Amino acid sequence: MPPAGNHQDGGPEQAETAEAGETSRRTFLKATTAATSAGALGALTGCLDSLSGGGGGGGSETTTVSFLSAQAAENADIQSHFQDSMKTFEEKNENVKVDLQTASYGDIKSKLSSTVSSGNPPAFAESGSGGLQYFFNDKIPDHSKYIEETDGMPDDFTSANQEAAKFRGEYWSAGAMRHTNSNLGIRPKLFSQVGVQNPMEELSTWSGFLDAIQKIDQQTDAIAYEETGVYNDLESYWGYARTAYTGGTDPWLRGDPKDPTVVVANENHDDQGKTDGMIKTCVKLADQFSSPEAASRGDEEIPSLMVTGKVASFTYATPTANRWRAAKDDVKIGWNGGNGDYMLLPNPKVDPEFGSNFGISELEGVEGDHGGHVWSLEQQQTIFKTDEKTQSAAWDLNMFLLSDEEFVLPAWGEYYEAIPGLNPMMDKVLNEYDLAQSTTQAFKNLDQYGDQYASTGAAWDVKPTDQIRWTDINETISQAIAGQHNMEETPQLVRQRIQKTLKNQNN
Amino acid sequence: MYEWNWYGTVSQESAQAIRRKYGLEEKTILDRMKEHWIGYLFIIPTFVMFTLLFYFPIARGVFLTFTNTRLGGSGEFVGLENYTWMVTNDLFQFAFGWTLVFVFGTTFLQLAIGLLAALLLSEVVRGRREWLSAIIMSPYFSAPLAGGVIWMWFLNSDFGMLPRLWVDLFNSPAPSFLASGVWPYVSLIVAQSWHDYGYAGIIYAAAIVGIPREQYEAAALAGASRLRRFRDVTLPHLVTPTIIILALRTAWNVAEFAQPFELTGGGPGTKTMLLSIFTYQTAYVNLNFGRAYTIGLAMVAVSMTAAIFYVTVIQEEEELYV
Amino acid sequence: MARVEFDNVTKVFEDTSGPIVAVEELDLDIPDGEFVVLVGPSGCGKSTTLRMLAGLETITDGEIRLDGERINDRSPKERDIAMVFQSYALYPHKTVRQNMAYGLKLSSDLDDEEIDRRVEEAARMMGIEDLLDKKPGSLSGGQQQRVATGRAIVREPAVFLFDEPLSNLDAKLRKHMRTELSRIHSELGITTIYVTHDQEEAMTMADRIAILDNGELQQVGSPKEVYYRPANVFVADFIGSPSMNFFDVDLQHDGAGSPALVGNGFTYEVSDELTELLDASETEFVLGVRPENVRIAEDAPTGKSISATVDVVEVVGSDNFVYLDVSGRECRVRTSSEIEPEEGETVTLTFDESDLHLFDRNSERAAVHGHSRADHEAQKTIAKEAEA
Repeated sequence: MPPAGNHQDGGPEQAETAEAGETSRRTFLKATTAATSAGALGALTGCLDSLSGGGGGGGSETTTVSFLSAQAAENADIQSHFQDSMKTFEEKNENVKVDLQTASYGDIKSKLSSTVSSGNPPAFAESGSGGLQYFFNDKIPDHSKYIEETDGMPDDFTSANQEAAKFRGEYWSAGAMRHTNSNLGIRPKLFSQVGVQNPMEELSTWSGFLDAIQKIDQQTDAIAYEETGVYNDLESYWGYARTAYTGGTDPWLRGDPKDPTVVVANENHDDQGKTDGMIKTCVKLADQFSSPEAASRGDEEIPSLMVTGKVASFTYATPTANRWRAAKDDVKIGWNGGNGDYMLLPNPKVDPEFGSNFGISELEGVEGDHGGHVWSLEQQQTIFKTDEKTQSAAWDLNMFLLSDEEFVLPAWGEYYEAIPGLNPMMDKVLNEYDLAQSTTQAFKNLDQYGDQYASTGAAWDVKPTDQIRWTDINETISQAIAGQHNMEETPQLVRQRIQKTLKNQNN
Repeated sequence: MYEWNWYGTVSQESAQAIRRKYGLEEKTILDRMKEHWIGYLFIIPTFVMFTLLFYFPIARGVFLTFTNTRLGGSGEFVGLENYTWMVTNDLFQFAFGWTLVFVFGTTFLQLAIGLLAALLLSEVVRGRREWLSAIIMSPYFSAPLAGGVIWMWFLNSDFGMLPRLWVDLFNSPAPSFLASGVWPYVSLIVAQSWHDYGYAGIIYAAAIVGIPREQYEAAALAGASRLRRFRDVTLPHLVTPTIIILALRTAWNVAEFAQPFELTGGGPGTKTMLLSIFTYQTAYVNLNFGRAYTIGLAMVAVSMTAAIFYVTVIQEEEELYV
Repeated sequence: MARVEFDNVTKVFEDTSGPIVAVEELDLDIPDGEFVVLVGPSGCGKSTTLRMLAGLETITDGEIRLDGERINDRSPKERDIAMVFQSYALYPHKTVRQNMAYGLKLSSDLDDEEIDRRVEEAARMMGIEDLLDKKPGSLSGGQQQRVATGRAIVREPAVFLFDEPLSNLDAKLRKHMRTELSRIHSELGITTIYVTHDQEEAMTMADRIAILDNGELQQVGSPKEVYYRPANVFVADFIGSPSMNFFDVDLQHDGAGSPALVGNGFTYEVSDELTELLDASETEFVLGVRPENVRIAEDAPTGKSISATVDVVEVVGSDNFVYLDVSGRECRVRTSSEIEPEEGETVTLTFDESDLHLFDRNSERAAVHGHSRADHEAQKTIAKEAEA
């Protein structure tokens, strides 16, 4: 017999009314329905997933604190440390249970948003700067009460935490567990190749750095300086924008939070040149020394590029040495007689000659100090409004994460090198662990240059901080790096956008 | 409407007459509900879920576009402010245009590649066909984010395979596929087509399998060449699936977020900003939900306009068979 | 118009489970203008035979000749053959007119006017002039069948092939279309090969019937031949409705030397004239007798009477079908409508020696047919079949 064909096998009655064209349409519809419904099911599960989760317990005996964290999902080591530490916390706090949930930094805002809008927020969460909005919308209680009741608080907070946790005099958050800061990262092998012998000295000014990267650009195939120019990784710029200043002066917004003075492109402001000059420096550096991909370059890609000798320097270097070990097992961190893979330095400071050396007239004669950006707003943790008991248990969890050595020391000394959120813990971490050069130097920079290392946007106390930082400043500069508008007009565009945002949203 | 009149058998008066003759009473909605309460019971969960998960969010979303709602709040009524903001926003205007190019470019490429894949599969013997189709269709079943990562490494200027291949083939430095010139646009469209052509392929394959073999045989006996048989037998049977795929893919591609976001995130700068990424940024970076929903509605408008267009075409297509 | 020869044609399909012989060493010679029906149960190879002739299947071995020319390697379109499919295979997006004109447009160099003239002529012949501008989707099954036939006619091919063309129609329409197709064949006189699984269709339409089973040709002959002289048990069983009754019998001689067929529960005396025609050494046979030849008669001669119990009586109008039990074996009898025995009643059956068929029990081949009155009866039966 021939293999089964397409004979219509129906009885005569059926065939009498059958349409010739119908069979095929029905067949393929049948065949596709299965696939479609599978998709629909998947979507439904997704929805349900976002509905569940969170919720303060409030049982008679045990209080359950649901805790949503992105830090706990950063790598496998820190994740298991978090899980173990929650047990430790439960042991130390009878009748409290922690329900730890994690989401990546990319997902946590949307996950939090869906739990909050479904009326089921976690008791405690790493809300980041979005938490400020929840505070405005009365989803988060005033944290002052908890802070004031705790010994040593708020004075033990790092200055980055003090700035970030406070909004116009009120504490809207419980601080960040840890900070990282942005610094200059270089590949010693490439810098020693062009004659640098004492990087701390020779690369301490922008002129010195410029000289070195010009040589690298000419003498090697490497990308001399790679800007992490995608809008959400341009914190590199936030950091060195400060190096035209001294004493922690804010380059962008100053004065009354309700009606701040915008320094950017402000013709009536003395400091306009310093701020505009660094914006132009950013665009020009990327243009002259970075790869064509700079405008979409994320910081995650840098370690593998640097350890393979493709990138010589960048300014998004953080204390976290683990990331470098992930890129190369036996990565040599530090100068190592000019033979290292990676080394962390303070961001260069603007020197009086840099302006003329690099052709940025605004910076001629300007002298600044080392400085950088400190991540703090992004990691702020907040208690959500539930019941008093749960809120207070959540605060206990917060203090555990900030001050309990069993948690703090291994977390920021071993699994994810970072600066602890409380000042007294910093030395303990330094003393306890034999840290990589990049980590100790990052600690040192923060310690040594004081207010010059600050959390961008935290001190402004304006409502649309995020939009100004990420979109109005970063995206506009990123567009300039991508060639969508030119360097000269960039400060003016940034100014217009900031002003529009302030006008619409800072009331 | 035609059908309705054709089946709707009796006029109003004669309906009354029939009822009077047999002592029947006209059924009220309540009667019907009593009669079919079990049926209603069964659809209630679906109905509730749909209302909860679908209609309610949509209605709420539309309402939000008239407010200045931000993250976590409810916001105040601001009239058409969000709409004014949107249409006067440079980035929106750009993203709107580029989204149209992206959507139609991807949709048509997906259609073309899907058709090719389906035709190829229909030539392969059974047994082997199942395996081959699983392989060919596999991108569609991979997570869009994973697809993004695959393409990212594929196109990566420093480590990627394509730039190396380019250098070997053309003996000149490869452009940076996600950054320079027109390449990021091409890359996004190609990567998206790659990810979803399997959808078109599945539907086309089902349609091709469903074409009666006898029609090909009759055409062959009538003297039609292979190409002619494709034109006269295969193609006409693909009109309906084509329109279905077009409508569905257009809607999906308008809403596509994960893979483009992973690949370029709208960059370099904002050069490849799609409406979907712009919506995300407005909502989760700028925390402005009112505006984000307004952009979302613009996306819905694109999908719906396309759908209406396709439905019009489908109506004309129906005449092909009757 | 053409003569079609199958010469030792074999078709083997390769399946995952191994090779399957669909048609085995088929020899068949169809003279020009003949209407031949290939009949057999499903899976017997009849459709494959047809498809090999059309060029839709390759030929594994042997040769098919059209007017003496070998056509094994010709593509379908080079064979000048038109085929009507069971599913009609009309192009759903083309009008009836376009459907019918398609083949002429592609394979002839006729101008549009001539094509149109021929389409309309064929449409008139099939009575579908009014449907020419409709799409197949809006036609009934019967109308679609006419269009499909019209599409074949319009090409005036050398050979017509029909692959179960009436299976999708209801019984009444099917009978009507049978006469239609017979009429068209006699009008056009084109060599026609018609495949069906319906023996009644075969009997009424064919000049000659070719019966296939398991890929092998069982018998070729006129309807009368295959009815009265079935070559083996299969053909005897397949042709005729209800089908023939079979009993295992042994040929025995009593003390007087007179022969009788002894079955389970009955003895049927036969004449020496009959036994003389048999191979003397053979004693094991299958006795076959058609239901229409069995009578319920109480006055039957004792040596030729069989006792049976009535199981079911089916009334079909003109006749009654009586199902009886003969010592555990079913026996079907077709009687006139007046004779209507009670269920459970014991009756006496008999039949004439001239109506019996004996088959060798081992080979199942026909050993002898009762012959007298054969021609006379043949005329009557065929007339009756056509009426029904």
